[in-house]
Amino acid sequence: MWLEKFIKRNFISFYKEENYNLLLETVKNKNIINSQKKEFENKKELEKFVIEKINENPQTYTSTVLLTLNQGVINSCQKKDYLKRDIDYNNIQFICINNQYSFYTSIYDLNKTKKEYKFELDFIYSIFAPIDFLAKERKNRFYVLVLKEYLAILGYEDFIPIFSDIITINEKEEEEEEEHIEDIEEIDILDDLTENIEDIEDLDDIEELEEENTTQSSSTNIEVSLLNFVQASLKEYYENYSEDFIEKIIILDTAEISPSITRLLEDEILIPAEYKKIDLLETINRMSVESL
Amino acid sequence: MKIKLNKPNIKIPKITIYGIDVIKNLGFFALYIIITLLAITLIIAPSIKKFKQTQKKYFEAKYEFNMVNNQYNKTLNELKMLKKENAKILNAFRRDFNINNFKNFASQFMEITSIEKNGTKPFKKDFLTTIYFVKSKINSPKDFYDFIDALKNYKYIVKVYFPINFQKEGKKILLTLKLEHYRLKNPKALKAEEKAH
Amino acid sequence: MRVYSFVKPKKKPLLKEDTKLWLIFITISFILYISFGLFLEIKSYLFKKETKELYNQTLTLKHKIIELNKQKEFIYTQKALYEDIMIKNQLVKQQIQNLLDLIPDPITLEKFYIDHNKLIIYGITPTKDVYNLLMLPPLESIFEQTITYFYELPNGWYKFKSENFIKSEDENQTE
Repeated sequence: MWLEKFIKRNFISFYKEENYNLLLETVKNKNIINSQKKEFENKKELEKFVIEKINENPQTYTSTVLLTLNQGVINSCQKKDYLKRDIDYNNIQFICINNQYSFYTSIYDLNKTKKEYKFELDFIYSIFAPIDFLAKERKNRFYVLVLKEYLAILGYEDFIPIFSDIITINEKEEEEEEEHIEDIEEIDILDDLTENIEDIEDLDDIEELEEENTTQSSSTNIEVSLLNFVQASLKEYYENYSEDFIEKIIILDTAEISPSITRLLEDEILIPAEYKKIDLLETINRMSVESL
Repeated sequence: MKIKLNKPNIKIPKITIYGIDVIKNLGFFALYIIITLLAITLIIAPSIKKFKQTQKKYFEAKYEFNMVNNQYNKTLNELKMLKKENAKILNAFRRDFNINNFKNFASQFMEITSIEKNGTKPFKKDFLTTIYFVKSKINSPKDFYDFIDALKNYKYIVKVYFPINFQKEGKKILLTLKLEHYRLKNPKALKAEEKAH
Repeated sequence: MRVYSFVKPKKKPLLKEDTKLWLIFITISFILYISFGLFLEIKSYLFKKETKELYNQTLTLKHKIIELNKQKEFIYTQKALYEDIMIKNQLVKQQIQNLLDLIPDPITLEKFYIDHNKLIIYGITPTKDVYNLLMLPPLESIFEQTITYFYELPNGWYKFKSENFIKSEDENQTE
């Protein structure tokens, strides 16, 4: 009603990735008039902050995304299609969009998230929902959402998503460190220590190389994981989901990877790629605002 | 040309004591007091005044009504008593003269030879009088006196009037007299009037 | 406006609890004030109505009292008339009694006629003197005018006719 133009509403979106990342936006008449980003190390601080905001303004909406592996999207809303894909229909909760496709998740995960916090959650989204929300090109596209600990892919064939997958990104730093240590041991201690300053210089070089390798390896780690993930998904997609070809891969980045990932993808998979930096919290809030 | 007006940001300091927003509560409290005072002066005080006025007038009216009512009842009772006391007379005034009845009555004292009605005329706006000429025989004047005395208790209102003629005839006296019978002019109309009250 | 969320948002109140409480409290108080004022107004209106009723009833009663008094008066009138008639009857009786008492022994009456203003006696008297001495004076004292006619009877007694007149008001004429 007309009154809603004058109501100030708080929209709080947050998710846990190492720390709790939170975005508070104050919205009046669909315009964002205030924005505040916060990071909390533990859940108690998060709860305290959110509850304080709720007490200040009762028109406060909280939302989060489910960061779990047991969720996905299928291009149907019907029980039989869920059963056809061997999805445990009785233990999932799904939300149907336009009667064309639906997001599903494990009821266990959903309830766990609901009970997780001392305040009530107004919006709980599948990780694929913001992807679908942002997806403008919906024919023969792969969207890859990059988080610090997760990668999610959503594939579109004919204006609706038909393929979804999510993986956690594994850390391989430990292995590489061990290798470096081995390398150092292999250097002959019996060698003349005073042989050359070059030797010491070599050691320094090696150490510098090591550092470069470790810093590079974390971002390349994601890139490598991404590459592998996309390849695996494409294979799965072509085998079981669609006969049409993916014409573009769109990277939605929240973890600050290098935009050159597109070149890597194009070189390796031969599909054009596009890089977009997105803010997941902002996207979630926009979804919440628009759904009211 | 659009002139942009900056919305003045009025910052009201937020003080919380024991978790209660003091400013807001004080503000509402002040609002409450203001509303109460306004209500009292604008609504309640005049209403009370009006109430007292009308109540006073009511009691005055009631008092006067009671007085008049008492007076009415008293008068009514007096009227009833009067009616009761004078029932005989009042009834007598209602009765039409019945010649036979009179003959019976008078036969105690005299022997009636003839009674003649001689016209009715109104008397004193509420009454009618009818004149009868009576010829009778009595044994002695005493009969006549007794007759007159008995008229007191007779159920008609009858006046004995001149001219009176005594004439001896043998042992009896021929008596001629004029009787006037009085009665109310419209007993039924009067009765209806009385019933209306 | 696609709804992506697995859960529906909880309904949010427009006002905070304490604001709501205050507003409810103030509203209820205000309603109470208005109700009280209204109550007093209604009472006043009822009083006014009652007062008007009472005035009307009082007026009616006053009229009724006048009527009752009229009736009382009329009863008195009737009673007075009755008394008057009875008195007059008694008067007639008295008059006749007096008249008959008036007549001395020797004189006998044959007939007499009484009217308002005249008295005519027919009688027999032994002598004129007896009549003149015994009857005439009282007659003259009562009546203004006395005329006596004598007629001698064969046996020496006299038949007399006494006409007596008095100028008096005719009671039955005016009124």
